[in-house]
Amino acid sequence: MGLENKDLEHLFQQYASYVGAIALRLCGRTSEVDDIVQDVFIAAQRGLREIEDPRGVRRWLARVTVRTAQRRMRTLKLKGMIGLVDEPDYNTLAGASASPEQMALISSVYRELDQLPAQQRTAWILRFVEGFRLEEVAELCGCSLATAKRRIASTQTHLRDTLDG
Amino acid sequence: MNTDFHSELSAALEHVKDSPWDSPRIAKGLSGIKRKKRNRALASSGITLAAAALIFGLSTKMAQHLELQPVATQTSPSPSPVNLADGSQIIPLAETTRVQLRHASEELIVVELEAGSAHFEVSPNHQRRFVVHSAEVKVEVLGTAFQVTRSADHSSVDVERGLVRVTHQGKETLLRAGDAAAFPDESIGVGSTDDSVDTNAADSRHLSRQNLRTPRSSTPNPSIESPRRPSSSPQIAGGPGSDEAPFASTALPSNRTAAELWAAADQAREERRYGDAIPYLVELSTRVPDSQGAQNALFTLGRLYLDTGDASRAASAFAKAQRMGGQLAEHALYREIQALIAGGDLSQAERRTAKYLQRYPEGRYREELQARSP
Repeated sequence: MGLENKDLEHLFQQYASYVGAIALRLCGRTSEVDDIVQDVFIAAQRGLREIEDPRGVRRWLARVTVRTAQRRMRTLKLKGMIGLVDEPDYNTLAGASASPEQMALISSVYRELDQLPAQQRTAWILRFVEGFRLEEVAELCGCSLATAKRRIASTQTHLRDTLDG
Repeated sequence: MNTDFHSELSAALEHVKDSPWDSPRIAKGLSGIKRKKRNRALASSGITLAAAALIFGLSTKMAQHLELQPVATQTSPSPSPVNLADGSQIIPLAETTRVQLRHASEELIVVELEAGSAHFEVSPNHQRRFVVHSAEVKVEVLGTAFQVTRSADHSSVDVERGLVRVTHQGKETLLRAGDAAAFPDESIGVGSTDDSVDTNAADSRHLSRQNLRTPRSSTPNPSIESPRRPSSSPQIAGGPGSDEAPFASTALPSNRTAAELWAAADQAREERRYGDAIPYLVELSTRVPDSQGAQNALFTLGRLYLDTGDASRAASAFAKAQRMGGQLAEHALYREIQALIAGGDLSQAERRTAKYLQRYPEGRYREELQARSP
């Protein structure tokens, strides 16, 4: 038994920006965000029965967002390999407060993240862009703490090797 | 990463912008959800209709097949394949091959190889058992392609892909891709068509494919050399259709170290040969039954089953891992609940959820489970 439509609307109004922010940072493409958010809330209507504990709902939505965004990234990667999607423009990711150097760095980081497997990229973004604790990253990624650490470290190494020069 | 670069990166990442959600965007999002739900409902009903049509077509075909060839001997004068209604194929490899379909239903297919040699391509189907009898040997398919040869004094089994369970003299042996084994006959004649073979004879001999040249022509007597594995044939619980969980024991060599077994299991999983990974994990779970390694193996086995759609066995493996306690128990219980939901056993999932919430009031999955429970 899922949520009623009115509950879904309420949920969407309350959490769309939270889900959208995670989706944007994970995926890095503004064009995909609305679609991911809609998919997350469709899953929410099926998976959530009632909205009581806001902390529980946020965490649940975050987990579903991570899974949905990962699926989307894999799909985009496959489509990219056969030329079905355009190169993403990561220059629009940085806010107005960012300096040109920072905008360029953010863009380079996301381009490098595109080279990595979705799981690896996700763990790193959740840790360093979203600011989740390691335990939370592991939980959101559905993996062990050790695996989360390994994925993050591996991404760090990749970024250091490719960008820190 | 050096400090300068790291701090520079951290500072830049602070500026990854938030995505603003104003009223028009929210309204657009909500209408998008409605549209998607409508489209998915339409697609889902289309798929349901197509599936219903397919099931109807298949069951009609199966019924026709059974009507035409209920228990008749299917002797193939030439090596033309015999197609079964479930998509499986039996390819006679010799002119003398005689194959008899003893039983065919959605749950069980029983074939008897009366003479000669045949290659079996079995369609993957967890809901259906596929059993081949050759004299005193029973070969139960766990999703595979393999070859059975019946000769005057023995039957041999040669597995090309996947996994089969061979029962001979009351002993069970798992054969994986690349394995071959010969099983001597004490009595010559048509083997039991009963699903349980219970006879007494000598042990089987396990051989590598390189050493056992199983006949692809009309020469039905393989030469037997150089056993690759020990001849012990340990018991295995829980084949398809069994209520027992499939982690009692295996036919794997006991001289492999745990590290070697893990490496072999990991390699098989990486190569998506899930059927091949199972025996290694089973062996790991039973070698030292109450160890941490056994619990890890059971947990991995559960994930493997869950990933391959066998929710019932996944739940069983996780339940066993959970009962072993320790730090993994909470995760195992959570995974068991996931497997029960995936398998449609919602009432048991509710009970296990209640147990989780009682046992782990501050557990890491508490919020999610509370959100999902009624």
